[in-house]
Amino acid sequence: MFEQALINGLVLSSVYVLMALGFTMIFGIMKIVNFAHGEFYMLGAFALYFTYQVYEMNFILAIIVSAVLIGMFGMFLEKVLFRKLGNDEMKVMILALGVSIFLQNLGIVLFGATTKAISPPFQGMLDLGFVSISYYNMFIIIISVIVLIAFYFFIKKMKTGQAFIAVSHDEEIASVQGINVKRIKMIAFGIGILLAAFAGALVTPLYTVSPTIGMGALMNAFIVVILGGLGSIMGALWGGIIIGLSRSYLTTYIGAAEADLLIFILIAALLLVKPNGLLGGSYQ
Amino acid sequence: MLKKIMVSLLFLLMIGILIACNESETSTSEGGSENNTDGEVLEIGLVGPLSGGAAGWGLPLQYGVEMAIKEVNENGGLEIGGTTYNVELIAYDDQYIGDEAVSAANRLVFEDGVEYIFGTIGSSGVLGMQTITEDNEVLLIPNSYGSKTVSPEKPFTFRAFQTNLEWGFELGSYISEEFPDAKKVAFISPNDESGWEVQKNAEEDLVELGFEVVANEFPERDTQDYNPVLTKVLNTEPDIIAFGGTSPGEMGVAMNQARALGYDGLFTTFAGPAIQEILSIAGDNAEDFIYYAQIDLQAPEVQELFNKYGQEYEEEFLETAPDWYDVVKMLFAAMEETGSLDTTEVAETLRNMEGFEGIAGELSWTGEENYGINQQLIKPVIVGQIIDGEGVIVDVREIKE
Repeated sequence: MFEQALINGLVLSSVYVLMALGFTMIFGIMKIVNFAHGEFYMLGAFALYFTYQVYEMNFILAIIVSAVLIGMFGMFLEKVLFRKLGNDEMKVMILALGVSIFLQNLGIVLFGATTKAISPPFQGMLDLGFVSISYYNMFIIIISVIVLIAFYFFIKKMKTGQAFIAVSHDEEIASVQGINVKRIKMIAFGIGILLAAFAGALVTPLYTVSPTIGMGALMNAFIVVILGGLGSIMGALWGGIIIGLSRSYLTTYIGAAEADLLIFILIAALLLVKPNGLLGGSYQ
Repeated sequence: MLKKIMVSLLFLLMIGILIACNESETSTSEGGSENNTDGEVLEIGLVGPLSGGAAGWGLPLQYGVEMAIKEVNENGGLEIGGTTYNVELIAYDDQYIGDEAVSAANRLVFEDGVEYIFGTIGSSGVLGMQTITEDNEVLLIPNSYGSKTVSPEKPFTFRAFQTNLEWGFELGSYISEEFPDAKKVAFISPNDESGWEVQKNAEEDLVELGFEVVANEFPERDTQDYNPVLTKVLNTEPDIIAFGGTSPGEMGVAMNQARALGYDGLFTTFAGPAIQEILSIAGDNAEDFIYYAQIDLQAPEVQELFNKYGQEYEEEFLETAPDWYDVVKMLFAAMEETGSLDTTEVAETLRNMEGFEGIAGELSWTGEENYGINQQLIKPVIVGQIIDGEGVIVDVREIKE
């Protein structure tokens, strides 16, 4: 049971980290609390439903196409909507909330109100005796690790990634250094949305798709980011792992109802000691 | 150029919002050429989960009520106390969220001025709505599994569907007789009023029948990853996984994940099933799912109704529509018999109605013994089972009070 809980926890962690990474990156660079993040997760799931299930595209290609399409849609929204409100955090937050409500309702109009499902492309499971893991769960963990490594190298080694860090620290100084801040913000928003859509598409074969799935995903991302520290990339990583494993072990050994309660108590206690989360910066 | 794009986008946004609002609030004026166009209008309210994981329960509610209204309007409307009424429906989507249901009830009662409401589904929403409807003498006909829904202190609430308090023992008896080796039951129920209530009643019935309850888990509603819960549950080696109020979409997901973890036992539910939705999600994984079927969808009366009014609806969400259709017809009959729209008088008539001929069978209001007042609908228990990928009626049982 211990090993099975570890596998379950790693799958949960993978999804939480992907969601939280985009969410925290958008906040870190643009100072936007993106309340529409869950809806982009939902759009990613629907994009996969259509590309893979309806149009029978190759599964891997369908995930990539879904994430990229929704990421581009995110860039478009940043350019024509979010950018217009500048750095007014309150206005941007309200706009994000509006986009969330709009996209959810648009989803209901376009895709119908009911739940849809996709069969996992890889059936069956690997039974190691002490633990069994479905091939698709294994796929989720591996793909998530690959995406995380790619993201790490993007931030640490590539110029655009370095520009992300510069803009997140100080927009004016970054601008003086020749960085096109507007462009960087648009790319950052697009990548954040791409990660949300990627998470939505990746887990759809395990779960279900409906226009209302975004709220739960957003809540999980929010919890992870609050724990890890709003705006901290490493915080999102550790927060996702801690929440994913905690939820799995607490549910398995104590109970589902008690698990959520204990997680909230854990976060509340931690925030008392570290108000900015595990790796969040301190506001002076 | 950018301004043009902005204006276009805002225009699209407005169109989208208007369409979306229309989706969440459906106001219908049903009927054909024989409609009574000169008479009064009687507005009926509806609140239910018309989107999301519980839409498999909410859409049949909407479809059933609409079909009954359509039929009445086509036949010239309702004759109540010498006045002819054309019936219109005002519907709100609560997404199976208690707060949303209360907001919708507020809107229906205080803004729309409605005195009769169908729905919502689920205890948390219904209990919240009752704080508004009972005080304002609005007649509420919901479907929830909580025992607090029906009581002598709530004379304006009539529960439209039987709960597992009525049929749970019969379902358990069927499983006990047909699968005598299946003795260990693990419950998975949502962590809310409905889930706890359904689970408690079901456990009492199953223990009385000799089953052993080996696990009781209460994950939050809208859970998508059941693996941690299932890992714990499957460690107890159950013969049956019983859902207590879990929505159809989530049941389907949980079935898929349970089979992926190697579970090969039975599934059952002590709440409404919505078989077509479960099958669309779980497919072969839903095999040997035993459920309370509400109605025989192949019955000639049901097929006749579907042929007449069901064409415009999504077929997979018609499952419990005939039950709602029956209750609406019953309410209309009570209104006509009373000769008044006074909710106190109509409630009294309704309470005393016995053996009403519905398409789902003979319907009566009972509940004196369990709840202290006759405001609980009762009819025979139809047991279904998924066999070879299809829902099959396997037994019909009379409820022993």
